[in-house]
Amino acid sequence: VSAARSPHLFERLLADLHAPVDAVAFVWFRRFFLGKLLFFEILSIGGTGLPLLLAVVRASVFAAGAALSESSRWCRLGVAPILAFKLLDVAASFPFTVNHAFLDAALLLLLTSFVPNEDKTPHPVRVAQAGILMIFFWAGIHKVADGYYLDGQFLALRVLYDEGDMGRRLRWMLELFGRLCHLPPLPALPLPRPSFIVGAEVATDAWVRSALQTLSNGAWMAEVGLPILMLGRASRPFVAAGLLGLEVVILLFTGEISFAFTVVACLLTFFPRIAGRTYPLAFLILIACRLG
Amino acid sequence: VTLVRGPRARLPYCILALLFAWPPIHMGLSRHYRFSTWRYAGMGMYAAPDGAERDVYVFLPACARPDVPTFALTPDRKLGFYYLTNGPRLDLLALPELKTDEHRALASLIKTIKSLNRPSDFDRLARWADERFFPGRAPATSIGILLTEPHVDMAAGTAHAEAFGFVREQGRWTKVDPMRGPAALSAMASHVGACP
Repeated sequence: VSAARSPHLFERLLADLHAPVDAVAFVWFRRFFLGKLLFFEILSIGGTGLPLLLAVVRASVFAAGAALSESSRWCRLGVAPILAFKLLDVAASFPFTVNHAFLDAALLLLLTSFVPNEDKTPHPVRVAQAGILMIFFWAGIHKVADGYYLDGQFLALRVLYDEGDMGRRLRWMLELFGRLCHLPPLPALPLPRPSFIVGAEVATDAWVRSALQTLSNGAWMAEVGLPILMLGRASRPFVAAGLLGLEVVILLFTGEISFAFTVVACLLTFFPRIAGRTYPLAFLILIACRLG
Repeated sequence: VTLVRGPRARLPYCILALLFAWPPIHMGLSRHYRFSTWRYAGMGMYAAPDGAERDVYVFLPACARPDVPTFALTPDRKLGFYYLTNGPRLDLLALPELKTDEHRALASLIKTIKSLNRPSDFDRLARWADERFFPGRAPATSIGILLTEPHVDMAAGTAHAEAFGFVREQGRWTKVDPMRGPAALSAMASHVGACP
């Protein structure tokens, strides 16, 4: 009796990375991702004179590229000018480039270089899946390493002093939670930003501290834990659904809509059989979020 | 699994290798060089406050300009300008709409220092301070720059800053040990000291 050797974890992951990809799901992934880039180009059209002309030219190039990518013959050529513009954006904004612009550029690079039905290298969809999991994982580790999450102080800073959207949304959630649970109300927030070097007193109720610490630790644990659970093949659709839920929470609090598009594009690839329904629906929801 | 060769074939592996290896390197570098975790393609957005939430303090030798021994380049978030925290020339940097080239350049420089914390930008700030505060005179022999990161200790009920400083002496920037609270201000003042 020869016992079948169970593959080593690394071998299994390598095999997963090279697993074939549903062609229809890949088309939807590419369509969704390029659609996102085109949508943001259209939103950026504005101004007068030369800036307006340049914005219109850019959006036209993105539209033409997205349209060309629908053709199996011209798909790589269509993505190439979009990649060129994205690389220019990254270079022009460096070192203040938003981090997900690098991810977008990497995905475009993969779409430009991939040859359907010929490549034996990992499919762009597989790279996107592995990449998005690593991004979540390292983002969670970073939160622990920087020391602002274990005691909830990153969120506390937002709640106490942030006049922006994230602070406002966190305060709204805390107030709602407090009302539902009949807890003492929050003080008038946000507080004026103190001179941190001199120091200031901050009074917070015990329930606020507990809520912020729970939310804070839950965030990094989910970011680290869910990608690890992806190592098991059977649980992947459930974990992907969990990550989509986590992304919805992240989007609600941070408002990072461009990143949300890319994350959703990558995560929906874990549901290839229903790609034709999930991608259009998600696209409409995210567009509504952005416009709303 | 059949691996193919060539630059295009290696691209997916290179991207995955970068996504796997760069974040921990970035984590170490951001901690060592104290640049904002939000910069340089790491995974540190929302892991810590962004550079914009830091404050920058500049220390000049007290004997050179007794009225402006220390000033803070701190944005007033409501009014949108940088101001001096002590000394009689409080309006020197009042820049409600960043109307002059000097104001715009300074605001941009401060933004860069807060996020990236690079000695080359310290040099630019030091040159600006020399020209502003010692016009027609020899540059200050020593200058200090202190950056502060906001913290909240909810259990103790306090907001405070972790501060890390840099002092320029004889053209070289040296790092001062991290400090906490207002003691950092006097420690930096003593590092900068007096003119010879």
